[in-house]
Amino acid sequence: MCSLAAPRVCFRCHPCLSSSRFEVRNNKLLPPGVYLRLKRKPEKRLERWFLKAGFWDSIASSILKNNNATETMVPPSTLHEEEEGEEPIPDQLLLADRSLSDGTQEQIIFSLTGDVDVHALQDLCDKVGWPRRPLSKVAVSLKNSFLVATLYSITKSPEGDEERKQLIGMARATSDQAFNATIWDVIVDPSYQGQGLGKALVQKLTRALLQRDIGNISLFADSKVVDFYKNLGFEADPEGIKGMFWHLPF
Amino acid sequence: MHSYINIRSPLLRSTILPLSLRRYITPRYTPTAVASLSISIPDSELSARGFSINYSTTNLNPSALNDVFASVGFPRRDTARLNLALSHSSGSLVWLSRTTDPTKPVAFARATGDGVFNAVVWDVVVDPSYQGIGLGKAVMERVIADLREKGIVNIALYAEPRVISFYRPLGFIPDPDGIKGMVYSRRNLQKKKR
Repeated sequence: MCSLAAPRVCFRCHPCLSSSRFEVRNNKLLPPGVYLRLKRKPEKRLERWFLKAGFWDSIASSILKNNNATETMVPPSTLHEEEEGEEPIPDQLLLADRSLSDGTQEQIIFSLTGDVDVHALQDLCDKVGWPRRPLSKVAVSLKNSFLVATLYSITKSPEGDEERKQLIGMARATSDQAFNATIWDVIVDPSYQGQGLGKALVQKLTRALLQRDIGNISLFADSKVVDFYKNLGFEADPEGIKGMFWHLPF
Repeated sequence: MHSYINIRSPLLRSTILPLSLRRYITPRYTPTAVASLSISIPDSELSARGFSINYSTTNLNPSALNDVFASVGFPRRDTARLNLALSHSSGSLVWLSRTTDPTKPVAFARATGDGVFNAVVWDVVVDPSYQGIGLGKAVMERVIADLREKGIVNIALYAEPRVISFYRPLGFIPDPDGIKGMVYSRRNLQKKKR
């Protein structure tokens, strides 16, 4: 049915892609000849299932939960056992609270409320050298993003009378709200880089997406930052799957 | 005025887009002018062959879609979550059905995104009995045309190795300028912890 020799658009029909361990219980659901090497021992710990899961299994949250002879199985939750007892990521989180050399008090806040001033965002993009975009489109893109995570710096003067709130980082994720999410536009003010804030931003955003049961979190990374994301648990070209971009004809 | 085009990927430090990437992002003509060039099998021919083209989920039978997923080796999805995903595929959604069986998809593709800058195409499937006759190409071309009409030209997808050659003639390039598709995987963190 799905032979490699024929030039077909057929995903996942080849043995090597099924590195998971589930059993095909009812062959009637599949055309003969389409193999799925799947064996699952029910008593295997959830943790080990995750350790051996392949790329497509990582989006297993989408799969049928009631086990009526389906081809693939899904664990009860996309969160790892250890993470299940975790507190949900709150809308606002204090990341740092410190005194600067001139006596001002600075707080770094992580926020998921998503209200971003597009002018502040444009200033931030200017600082890192990203090309400007029409502000109205930026506003629409933020509105259509499933999650927008921001980093703010709130500085209080020593007298305590002045308070300044500044946008110093942002990341956003688009999603179909069920299976997949893609992270775009991760940005941190250059003067705040190198302190682990970008890492915290992406980690918290990822965690928030997992808590909303999005099993597949993806992104496209410039070659220079591939290692940054590797350290955060992202894998490049999982199972040889490549990111492709459309381009205008020359 | 040209639509603004930029390949945005998560970047920490400021980078000027390399010259080689600029040709992917600088339009030479407005998208609508080019869109009409890129449909290989026109609607009329699909119709003559007995296929209907659909752009919304109105008549789509989710369990029939699940059947197609299963037949190509994709995991079956929970119907409620599938409906949720389909209602939020705000980028684009195109599927073909036999005119004689209008609720059953034979080819399908959907795209998610923010509606102005970026889109990612997911779940491109063709029923195995209908493969090899250009239906996959037909849905993909229409998804791309639909996205471009909305002004979105940053269209991405994740391709398994054996279908990379399917996407190339449609205008997709793997890892342009070293940009890598990456996916979050909990087991990578497990490995690191050891």
